[in-house]
Amino acid sequence: MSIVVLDANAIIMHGRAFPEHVHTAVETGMKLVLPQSVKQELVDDVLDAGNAPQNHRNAAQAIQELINEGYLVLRQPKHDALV
Amino acid sequence: MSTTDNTPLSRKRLHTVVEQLANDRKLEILGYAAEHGQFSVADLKDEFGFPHTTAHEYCRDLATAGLLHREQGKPAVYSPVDFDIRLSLDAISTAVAAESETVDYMLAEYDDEIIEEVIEIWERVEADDLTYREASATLDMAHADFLRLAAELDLFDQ
Repeated sequence: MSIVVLDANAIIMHGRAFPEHVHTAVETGMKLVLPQSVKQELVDDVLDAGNAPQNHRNAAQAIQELINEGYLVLRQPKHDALV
Repeated sequence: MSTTDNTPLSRKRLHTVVEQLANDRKLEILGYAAEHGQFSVADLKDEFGFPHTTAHEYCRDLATAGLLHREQGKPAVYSPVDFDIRLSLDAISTAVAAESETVDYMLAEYDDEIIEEVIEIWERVEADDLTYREASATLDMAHADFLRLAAELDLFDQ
């Protein structure tokens, strides 16, 4: 199985087709990893911002749903490694 | 215009799809894919007499546009994508409105010069003089906003 770690650039470049491309990649055996820092940037910060435009909110919500459905695997930082 | 999973089309996607479908040879390749399923670039050469490099280039373009699927491995093997594209005034309106939302947000969040500044600094990114992160930091933009505006301006394709 190939594992791909996504960054913000890769996600934004796919635009609104991102969920479709994720479904296709996962269904062909790829594992897609989303670092927590990228989720913070593209999901949490957008949904928390009062002035984010609706299309940015829709994109953030779509990424959150991909996480909830298990298509994207969230990678938490290993805090222990910093101690 | 929409695809089978109801992904809303962007202006960029609209341009890409229409550009691909405006090429008769690419339409022939899509028709061949629908009829034969998996095929290689060499198959196209035999069927249509395309030069190998042309067939390869056309298949790659169609795959990039999401109209053809490239199987893993070499030599290159392609298979059809069961897309269902519908064009409507509402779909075009939605695509344009979504782009306007992003641009309006950027102008309000930063300043009136931000579009020109992003286009200008993009040349340094393309020249490997700056990374995306360094470019967004130079403009004092949130990194995600920098990428979103670049995507909206189609800078990634240039």
